[in-house]
Amino acid sequence: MCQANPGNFNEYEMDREELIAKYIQGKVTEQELEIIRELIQTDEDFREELAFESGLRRAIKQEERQDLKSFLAELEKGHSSQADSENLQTINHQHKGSNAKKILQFSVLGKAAAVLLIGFGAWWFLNQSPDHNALYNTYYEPYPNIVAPTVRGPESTASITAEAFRLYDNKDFPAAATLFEQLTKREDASYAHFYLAQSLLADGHASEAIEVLEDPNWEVPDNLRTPRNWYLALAHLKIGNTEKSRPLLEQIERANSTKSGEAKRLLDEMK
Amino acid sequence: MDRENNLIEQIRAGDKKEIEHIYNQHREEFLAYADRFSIQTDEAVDIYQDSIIVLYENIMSQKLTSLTSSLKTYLFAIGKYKMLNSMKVKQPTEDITAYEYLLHEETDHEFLSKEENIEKMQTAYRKLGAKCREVLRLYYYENQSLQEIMQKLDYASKDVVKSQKSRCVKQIREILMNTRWTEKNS
Repeated sequence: MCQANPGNFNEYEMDREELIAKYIQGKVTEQELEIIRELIQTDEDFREELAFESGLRRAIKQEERQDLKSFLAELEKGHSSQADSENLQTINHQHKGSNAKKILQFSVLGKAAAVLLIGFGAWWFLNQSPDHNALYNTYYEPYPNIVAPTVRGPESTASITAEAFRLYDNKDFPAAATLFEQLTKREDASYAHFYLAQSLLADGHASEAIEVLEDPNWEVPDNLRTPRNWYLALAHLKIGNTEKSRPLLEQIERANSTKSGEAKRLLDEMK
Repeated sequence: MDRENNLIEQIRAGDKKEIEHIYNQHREEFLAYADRFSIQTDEAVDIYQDSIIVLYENIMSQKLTSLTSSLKTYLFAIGKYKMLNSMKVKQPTEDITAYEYLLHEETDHEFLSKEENIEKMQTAYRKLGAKCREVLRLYYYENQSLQEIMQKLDYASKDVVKSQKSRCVKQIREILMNTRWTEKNS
């Protein structure tokens, strides 16, 4: 990763205003994020402007959220409570055979999807392209732990995090995965999904890693956006699902990130 | 799936009817699903609405542009996460991106670090004219580029959009300054 030096800032073509704009719209590359980090430390005006615009973004999001909530509350008035209880009974009757405990496990639907994906992957692998796994092995390399040394947060999160990363660094991936999975349920551990997927991938569970990386509840931190796409592309590649990996790799190539070159080469080799 | 992807495009184009349709279509089954987690109906309705909001935000911010599963699966995945969360000790739900949390730590003394200041900003945003609100909403909420905003609102050039946006942001700053001044002197 590029070590940003604010003294050399002018060497970058982009000006501060454009950096803020890209950050605010979630379009920064890793390299730009490094520059932003430096500028925040050194440039008070920049820091103030970025904070102001981030705040404005949150304020508008809140406003939209409240608007939509009142719209939905109006809709809700149309549903009478009596109808609810009747419908509940009917629908629960339909679901009588299902076991409530199962729902609490790590996404039954997702597992079914994973099984299908593995099945499809195996079929595809056997029939179509024996090279995907080799390509995957060439390009796959576990992502380094960039979190643990600087972990801050409530004590419980911090200690689970520290332990999870200790296991991760010691390559005890199944145990690390268990802890990262716990952390994915916490709001203050936005990196947890990423490292859970890493642990699963390192342990050979590409389909499960895909499920984690595609989780709609995961608010992907800016600095992990490209790495997330990279590993998602690799995981899809591993199970032979090149149709999914290709657009992701193209996106990385366009994003002008540290992985752009590799993404391009991999795309060429996949042809 | 194509029909559902089409639906996403319509929502992005601002069609609230589609949200209403989705809301009504999955509501009963969602409440039955929540019932199996032993969540009371009132709370389940609340969680359902919040899940619809997340779905809507993901569509509007272009995080969700096409579906790999059905819309229902996607919606229920959001809902399940929220239900599991509500069953534990309540946690703050404010989503702060990785970098913003750093900002908050570094600049704790600053104007923006407090929730109440976000509210003041929201109030200021409401005081803007409709045109300003629309430009800012498209830019900050929908992550649209200046080019896209130009086309959507029929501006003459990207530069015009850019200066319009700057004017609107400046207005927000002025309203905030006035508010602070008034508070100090009242």
